[in-house]
Amino acid sequence: MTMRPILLVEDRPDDVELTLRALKKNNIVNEVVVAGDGVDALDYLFGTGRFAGRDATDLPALVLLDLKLPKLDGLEVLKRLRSDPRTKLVPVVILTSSKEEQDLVHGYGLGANSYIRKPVDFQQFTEAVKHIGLYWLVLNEPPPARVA
Amino acid sequence: MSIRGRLRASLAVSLGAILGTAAILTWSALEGSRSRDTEVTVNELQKQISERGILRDEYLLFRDERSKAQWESRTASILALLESAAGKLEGTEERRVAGEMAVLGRQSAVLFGQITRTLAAPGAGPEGLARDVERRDLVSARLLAVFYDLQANASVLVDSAAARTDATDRRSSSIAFIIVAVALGVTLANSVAIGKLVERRVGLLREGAGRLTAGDLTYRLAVSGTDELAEVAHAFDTMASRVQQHVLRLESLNRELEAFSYSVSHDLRAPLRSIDGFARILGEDHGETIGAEGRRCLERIVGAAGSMSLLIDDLLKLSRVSRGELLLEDVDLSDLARTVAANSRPGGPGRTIDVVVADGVRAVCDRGLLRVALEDLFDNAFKFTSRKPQCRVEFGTANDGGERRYFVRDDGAGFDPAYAGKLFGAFQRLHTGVEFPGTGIGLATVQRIVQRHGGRVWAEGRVDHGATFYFTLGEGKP
Repeated sequence: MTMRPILLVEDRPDDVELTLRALKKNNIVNEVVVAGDGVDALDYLFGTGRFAGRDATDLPALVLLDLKLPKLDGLEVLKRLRSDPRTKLVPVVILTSSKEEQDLVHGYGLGANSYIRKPVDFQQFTEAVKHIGLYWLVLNEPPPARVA
Repeated sequence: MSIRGRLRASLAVSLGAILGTAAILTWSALEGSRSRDTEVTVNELQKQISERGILRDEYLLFRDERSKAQWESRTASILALLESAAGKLEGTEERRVAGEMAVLGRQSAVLFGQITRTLAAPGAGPEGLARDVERRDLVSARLLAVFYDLQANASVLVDSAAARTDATDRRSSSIAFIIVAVALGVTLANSVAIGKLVERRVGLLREGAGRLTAGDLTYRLAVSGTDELAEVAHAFDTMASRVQQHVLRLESLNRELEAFSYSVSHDLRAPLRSIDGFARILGEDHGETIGAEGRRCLERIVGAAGSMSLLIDDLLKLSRVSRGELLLEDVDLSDLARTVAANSRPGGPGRTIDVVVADGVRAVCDRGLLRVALEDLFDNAFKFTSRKPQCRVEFGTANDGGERRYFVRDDGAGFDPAYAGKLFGAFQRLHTGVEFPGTGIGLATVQRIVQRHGGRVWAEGRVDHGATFYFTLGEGKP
C-alpha cells in the first residue's frame, strides 16, 4: 500500500469532514492534503502559492477532485494537470454531486481515471470511499512518484 | 404598381373598349342610316328626273294634257326632293350641285311653259306656224340639254352618296379595330407583367419558406415594392423575425433551465449529504447518550434526507426528459420492456411476479425516453402489486380504431377511477407514502415523454382490481 499523500480538492467543509471520516473508517491512513479551491489544488501540485517550495515532482498517490469549485472549477484543474508533464500521470478520481451527462463526458474526455457520484446516503458514501481506497491505494500499481 | 391596380386597369381598358366599340357601332349605324336616307332621296330624284323626261317626250309627241299635268307635278316633286336633299347633303360640292339642279329644274319649268304656251296659241298663217315649230324645236333642244344636265347632276349626287356611305362604314370599322387592338395590347401587357411579378414573388416566398423550415431563421426576403405579394413578403419577414425572437428566447430559457437543473442537482444535494452524514455520525458516536428516542429521531432525519434525494433525482429526470432532441429510430419495445422489467423487478423473498411481455412490439420512437417511461411504468406496477404474494405484470399492444395503444397492466392495488385524471400531475399521489412509497413524479415523467412523441397516456382501473396504463406514440400523425 502506497503511503504517499492523498490530495482532496473540496470546498465544502462538511464534505471534507465526511470524506476524512469515511477514509478513517476504512483504515486509510495516508496523509490527506485538503485544497479548498482549484487554484489551491494547482498550487499544491506545482509547488506554488502557499505550497511554494514543495517538490512538484513528488506526486500524490491520488487526487479526489470535486467539480464545482471556487476560482477554478474541477474540469479546468484536470485540464491543467493533464497538460503538464509532471502531473499528467497522477490518478484522478472525480468525486462530485453532478450526474449531468455533460460533466461525465467532459471528465473522461479530459483524462479522469474514475467518475464517482457522491451518494446522499453516508453509508453508501463510506462504501464508495472504501472501494476507491482499496482500488487506487492497494490494488492499483501507481505511476512512479517522480516523473523524470 | 399593385396587382389589383393592374387588374383594375385591364378591366377599365376592356370596358372602355367595349363602350368605345359600341359607341362607334351606334354612330356608324346612325351615320349609315342618314347616308342611306340621302342615297334613297337622290336615287328617287334620279328616277323622277328620268320619268319626267319620258313624260315630256309623251307630251311633245301626243300633246296629251294628262302627260303635261304629270310633268308639272313631277317638277314640283323634284324641286321638293331637292329641297329636302339640300338639308341632308353634307359636302359643299354636293350642295352646289343640288343648288344648280334647283336652278336647272326651274329653268326647265320655264322652258316647258314656253312650249306649252306656243302649242296653246299657235301663230297665224304658215309663217307663224313655221316660226312656232322653229321656236318649239329650239326650246325643246334647250329643255333636253337641261334634262341631260339634271341627269348628270343626279348621277353625281347618287355616286357621292354611295361613296359617303362606304366611307362611313370603312371609318367606323377601322376605329373599332384600333380600339379593340389597343385594349387587347394593354390587357396582354398587364397580364404578362402580373404573371412575371407573381412568378418572381412566389418563387422568393417558396424559397424563404423552405429556408425557414430548414432552420435558417436569419433568412429574410427583403422584397422592395408596393404590390400585394410584396406585402405578403413583408409579413413573411416580420413573421420570421418573430419566430427568431421566440426561438432565441426559448433557447435562453432552456439554458437557464439547464443551469437551474445543474444547481439543483449539485447544490441541493450537498446539504442533504451533510444532514445524512452527520446524523449517522451522531448515531454512531453518541448513540448511547441520546437514547432510543434520540436514535429514532435520527432515523427520521436520515429517512427524510433519503426521500428528498429521490425527489431531486426524479425532478431532474422529469426536467431531462423535457429537454434535448427527440432521436427517433425503430425500437424493439418487447426487447426493451423485457430488459427494463428484469432490471427493476424487486428481488424480495415471498413474492412471485409473473412478467408477460408480448412479442414483436416495435415502434419508431426515442429509445432513451421510452426506456425511462417503461421503467417508470414497471416500477409503478411492481410497487402497487407489492402487497400480493403472487402477481402478474403485462406489457402489450391493443388496436382501437386504427390507433395503436401500448399498455402496462398489473393486478395490484388499483385506484379509484374518480381520481384517474390526477394520476399524471407531478406530486399528485393517490396513496399515502406509508402505503406505497414514491415521489409522485414518475407518471408525470411518462406523460411528458409520451406527449413529446405526440401521443397521450391514460389509465383504467378499480380499487383492488389492478390498473392498466395505456399510451400512444402519435403514430400515423403528420
